[in-house]
Amino acid sequence: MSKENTKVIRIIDEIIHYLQSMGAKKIDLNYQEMDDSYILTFKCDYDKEKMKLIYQMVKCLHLERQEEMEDTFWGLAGEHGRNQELALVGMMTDDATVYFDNERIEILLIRVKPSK
Amino acid sequence: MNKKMVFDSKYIFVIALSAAQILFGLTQNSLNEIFFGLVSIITQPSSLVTDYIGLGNMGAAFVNSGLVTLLCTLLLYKLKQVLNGPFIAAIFTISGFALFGKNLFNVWFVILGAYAYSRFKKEKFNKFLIPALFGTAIAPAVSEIAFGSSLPLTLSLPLGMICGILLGFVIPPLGSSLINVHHGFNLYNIGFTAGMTGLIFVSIIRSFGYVPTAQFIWTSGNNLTLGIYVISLFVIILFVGFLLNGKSFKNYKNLLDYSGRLITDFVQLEGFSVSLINIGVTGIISTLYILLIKGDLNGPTIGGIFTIAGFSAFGKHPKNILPIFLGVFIGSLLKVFSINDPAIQLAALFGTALAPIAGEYGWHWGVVAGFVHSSVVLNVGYLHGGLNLYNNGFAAGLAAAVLIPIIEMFGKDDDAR
Repeated sequence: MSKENTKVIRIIDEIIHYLQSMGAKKIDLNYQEMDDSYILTFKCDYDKEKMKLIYQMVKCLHLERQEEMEDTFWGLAGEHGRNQELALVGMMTDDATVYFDNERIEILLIRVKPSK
Repeated sequence: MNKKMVFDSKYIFVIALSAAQILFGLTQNSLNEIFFGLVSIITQPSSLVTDYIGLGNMGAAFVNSGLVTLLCTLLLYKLKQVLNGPFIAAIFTISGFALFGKNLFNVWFVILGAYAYSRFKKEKFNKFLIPALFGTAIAPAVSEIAFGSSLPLTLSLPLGMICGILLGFVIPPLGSSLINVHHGFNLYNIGFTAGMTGLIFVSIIRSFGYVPTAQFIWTSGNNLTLGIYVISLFVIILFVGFLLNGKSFKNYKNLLDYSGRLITDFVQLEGFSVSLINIGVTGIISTLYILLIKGDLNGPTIGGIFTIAGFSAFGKHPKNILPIFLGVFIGSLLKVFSINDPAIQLAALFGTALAPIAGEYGWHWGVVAGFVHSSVVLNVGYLHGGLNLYNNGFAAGLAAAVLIPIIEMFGKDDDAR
C-alpha cells in the first residue's frame, strides 16, 4: 500500500475515533479518490452534551495544510484519538467544512495529492 | 497562507534572540578572546557534557549560540518556511545546545545530510526541516571523528563530515518511524531517534576498536551574571507577549488546558502572543528552579532552560512541566544522587520532554514520569557514547514507551476528555 493511501486511512481512522468520542452511533463515510485529490465525507449523529468537542474539532480541522509537519508526525494520526491528532488531520488536509445542527454533524475533507 | 509573507513578527523575534545572545557574549570577553574561544569550541570534541563556557569562554559560547541560531534562521527564511511552534522550539533548542555541543562547524553536515535525503526522495527540503534542525543533536559525532580520533586531520576531517552527512540522511525516515514507540508522549522525538541512531553508530565504531572521547566540562560560579541575563531575557519575552496580546493574559488559560502531547502547536492553536507569554513564564520558572536547588547556570543548564522555553510554543506549559520537576526532586530524596548533581539538574530540565504525560493523565503520573526518567537517563549515555546531545530525549522515549502502556492499563476513559 502506498504511503499516501496509508495517510488517508489514518485520517479516516482519526475522524471516526473522534466522532465515536462525541457519542456517534451511526457514521456514514463517503470516500472518493479523484485524479488530484481525496474527498472524504462523514455524516453522523452525536451526543448534544458533547457540543464543546465540535468547536474543538472545527478549530483543529481548519489549521493550514503543513507538509513539513505531516512528514514527521503523520504516524501519530489515528493513534489515540485525542485532540492533538485531530490538529494533525487539519495539517494533513487542504480544505475542511464542518456543518452541524442539533442532531447531526457533516464533515467534508479534501486532501490534495502531492504533485509528482 | 501566503508563503511569500513569511518575514513576520516570529522572524523578528528569533532574530532578536540571536542578537541578544551575540550582544551578551560580546560584553563578556574581548574580541580576541572570543575569537580564540570560538576556535577552541570548533576544533575540539563536543560530546556530552562539553560546556562551551569552560571549553572556550563565556563570550565565545554565547557568540557561537547567537551565530548558529542566526544562520539557522536565515536558512529557514531562505526556504520561505513559516515559523510555527515546532520551528520556534527547534530554534530555541539549537540556541541552547549551541552553548554545549552544537557549533558553527558541526551542525551543517547533519543538515546537509537531511538535504541530501530530500534530494534522494525528490521532495521539498522544507518537508524535512524539522528532523534536520533537531537532528543536529548528533552533530558531536562530526567533531568527535574529526578532532577526537588519532587519525591525521587530513583523513579525520573529511571522515567526520561524511559521518555527519550519513547520520543526517537517515534521521528523517527514522524520526517519522520511531515516533510510534512513545506515542508522541516524548516531545523530543528526534532526541529518541538520534539516541537510537547514535547507539548503532557507536556500536559500529566501538567494534572497530574506537572509543569515543569521554568529556565532562561543567562550569559553575556564574549564577549572578547568567541569572540576570536569562531572567531579563524571559521577562522581556513575557512582557512583549503581554503587549502583543492586547496588554492581557487572554487565552493563556486555554493554553494551560492542552495536554501538550505531540503535536500541540500553541502558535497555531492559541496564537503567537499567548505562546510568547508561555515562553516567558516557563523560562522564568525553569531558571528559578535551577537557582532554588542551588544548581549551576552554565551552558548545559541554560541549554535545558532554552529548550523548555522553545517547547513552550509546542507542548510545554507550567502545569505539565512542574510535576516532572517534582518527580525528579522526590527521586533525589530517595535515590543515591543529589538534586543538584549535574546529571540530575539536566534530568529535571530535559525530563520535561515527558510533560505530556502529566498533561494527559494527570499531575501524579507526571511525578512518576519524572521519578522514573531521572533514573533511566543515568543509564543510557554509555549506549551512544555521549554523541547524542539529546540524551534525555533518548531516555524519555524509553521511559514513555514503557510507562504509557502501564498508565493505560489503569484505564483512562477516552470519553472523559
